[in-house]
Amino acid sequence: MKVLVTSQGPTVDALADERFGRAAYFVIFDGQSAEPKIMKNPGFSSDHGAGVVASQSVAEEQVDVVITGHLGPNAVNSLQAAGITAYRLPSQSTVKAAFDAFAAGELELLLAKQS
Amino acid sequence: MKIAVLSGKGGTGKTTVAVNLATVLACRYVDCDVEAPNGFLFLQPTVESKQDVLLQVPEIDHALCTRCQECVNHCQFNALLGAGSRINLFEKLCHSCGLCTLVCRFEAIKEKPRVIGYLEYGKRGQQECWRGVLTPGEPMGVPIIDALKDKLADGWSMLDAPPGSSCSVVATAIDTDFAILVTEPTPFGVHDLDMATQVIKKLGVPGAIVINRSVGDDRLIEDYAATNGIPVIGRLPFSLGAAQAIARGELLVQLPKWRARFEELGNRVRELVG
Repeated sequence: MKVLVTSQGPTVDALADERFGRAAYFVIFDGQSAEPKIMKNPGFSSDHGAGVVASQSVAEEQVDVVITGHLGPNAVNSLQAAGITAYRLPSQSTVKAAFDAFAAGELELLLAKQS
Repeated sequence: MKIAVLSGKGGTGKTTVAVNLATVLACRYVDCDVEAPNGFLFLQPTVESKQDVLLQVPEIDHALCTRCQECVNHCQFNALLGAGSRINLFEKLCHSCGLCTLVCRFEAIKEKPRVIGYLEYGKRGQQECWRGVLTPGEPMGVPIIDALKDKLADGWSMLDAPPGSSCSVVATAIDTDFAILVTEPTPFGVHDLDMATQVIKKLGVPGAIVINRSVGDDRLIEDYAATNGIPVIGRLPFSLGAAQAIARGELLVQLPKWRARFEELGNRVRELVG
């Protein structure tokens, strides 16, 4: 399973980003590998439709779960179309702490997967 | 002859100037502030016709679509999503450029019209009045403004612009012959006047300033006008009587003192634009 946390910086110790479409970075944890994949979010600098282009990139990475603060209407529709689940970030959390909280089953569901 | 009335800042008196000036000049009034068109409240024309404004958006035939992603990758506005079991359209992001239809090798995309607002035409006596109305919730006013400007016959038109310096303001001011910049003698007024000035300078449209709500000390605006070489062609006083008349939905030119002020302003405009 791949789990993505929206991040303000390119490390696991950075603060998580409350925004999804306009988050600076995506940090992707994969059960298969020890090191997370860190990538820039193409939505961050997009003039139009940040929520859509961010979701497109998340889907291309075959992510199953997104952990973020808020989802705009276009992001909700896009993630639903892509069959992705979302959970709400704890406030003022680092990326690593958010991932650990998710692994411990402590996070609130933000968007259920559409079957 | 097309004259655009701009301000930068909202609430400085664009519509007040546009409707009253159009009335003394006996010219066409065109409300391009499509998100909040309110000029008709004062002119109260008898509306003779109404027509929808359509935007072409893609319609995907999912039986022909191979999900090759070519359309998604070409869309400059991220209006198409390729994730999931089919291509999804976000129609409010679509700018109607038609590129997706062109790049589809499987002829899976056709265009279909979508209503985003309407135009209205009416008359107040002999005066022609037009306005564009964007449907609430729709994000793009530019296609309405373009459709509105396409309707204008020869003769003088007074175009009442939206506030700010966004795409809708540019769409209103572009290809006009002259701009009237309405402002107020406050720091906000001069700040936003500068944004409007930069728009018309980029578009190559000459302009002049009208100071509204003047209380006698207009140095903020006069200094700006002198520095930037733009003439000040009118001063409208801060007046409780004017505010009350506007609140009743009346034209200021129905009051003799104000009629004289707008006639003088009209004469200055005629001198400047010939």
